[in-house]
Amino acid sequence: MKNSRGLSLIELLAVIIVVSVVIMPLMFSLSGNFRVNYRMINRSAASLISASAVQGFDTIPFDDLSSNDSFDVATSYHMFNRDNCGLLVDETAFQTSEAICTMIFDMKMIERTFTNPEHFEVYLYPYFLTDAAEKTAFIDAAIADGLDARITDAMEERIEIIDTEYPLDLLNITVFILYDTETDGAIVRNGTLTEDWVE
Amino acid sequence: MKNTKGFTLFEVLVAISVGSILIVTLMSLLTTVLLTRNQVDYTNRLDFAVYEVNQTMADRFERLGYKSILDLVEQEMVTAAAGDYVFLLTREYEMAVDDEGMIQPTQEGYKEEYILLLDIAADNLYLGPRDAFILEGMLDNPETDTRENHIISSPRMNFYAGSTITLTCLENHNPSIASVIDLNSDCAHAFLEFDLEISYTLANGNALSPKRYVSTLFY
Repeated sequence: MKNSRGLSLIELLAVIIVVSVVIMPLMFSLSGNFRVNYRMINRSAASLISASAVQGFDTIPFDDLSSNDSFDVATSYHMFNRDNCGLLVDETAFQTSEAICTMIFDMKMIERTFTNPEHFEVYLYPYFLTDAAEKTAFIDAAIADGLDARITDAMEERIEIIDTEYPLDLLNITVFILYDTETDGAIVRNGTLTEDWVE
Repeated sequence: MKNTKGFTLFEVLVAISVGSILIVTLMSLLTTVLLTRNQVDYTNRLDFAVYEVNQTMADRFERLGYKSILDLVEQEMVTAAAGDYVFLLTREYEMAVDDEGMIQPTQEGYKEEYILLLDIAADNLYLGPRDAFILEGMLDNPETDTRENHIISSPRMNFYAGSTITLTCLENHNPSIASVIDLNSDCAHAFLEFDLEISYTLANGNALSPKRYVSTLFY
């Protein structure tokens, strides 16, 4: 051995840096995979909860949902979240509408729950409007209120225009769950609510 | 060769110490990564097994249009043990097919009954026609259909004692019963809370520690 001095500090640092450069991307990749996995499970949970939320709102008496002293869904949209279930008037003989509403926003799936009121919202709005101008004004007002574009797009797509008084009591429902703030990932599920016609 | 002395004892000890620290650090990093990966893999399988069960139930509740749910007290009707949970789901039709194959409205309503059963000893969650759950030899049980045809949980799922299904009645199926919340009454709408302690058996036969899942569904 011609050189038995060993490694200098610079050489040692260079080796550490090279090893770090190799290991760091692998670690980031691993943690990235964990994040994607976590996000995917959040999405699955949000999907199940949104479907159950539509079904849950269907169990609330239609009259309570469509109109009371605080709101009138025939003329404008109404947004529910876990903070404003109290607006629902108690007209049922069993659990109150407010209690059912609270149960909906407390729902849990795969150990996930969406408790932030801004991340889990339910929008009720008319199924029919009488002319295109009325629909445009409705959507414009919703956009001006700062609603997420995914919600106003759903409203745009789902509100039907008819030129006479609508024959049925129908409401559109759109459930919005923001399951990942980092990527702005959200589930938007739409449905229709109507009065029970068979008992 | 200018220097043929080799290492001193001190140099060897330092080299072994530094090498050991590096190896232990790398091994512990590797072990942590592998354990975490295995844990995530296991939890994922469990999560998706639970997701699948919830999705199946939500679909069946919504699409088949069950009209009522009853928390069964008379468990002798089905072969269920104490600690199991049994619910009777009823689907009603206002129209029925008569003997001549014509669709006719019916005054009484045509009913189909289904059973939702959590059998902890058998490690299964079932949802299927009531006839498949009747004790053999009783009534006219068609032997072609058994409860084993209606398992909705993964065969790799293991349920633990203490798992519960709670029914909260939101509206009575019979409108004339207006004011009493009775868990054993026939509910038109209900809130079901599944509080299940579950483990998952991997392909190699190992079942890691159980995990508790609370899921809620509207009926």
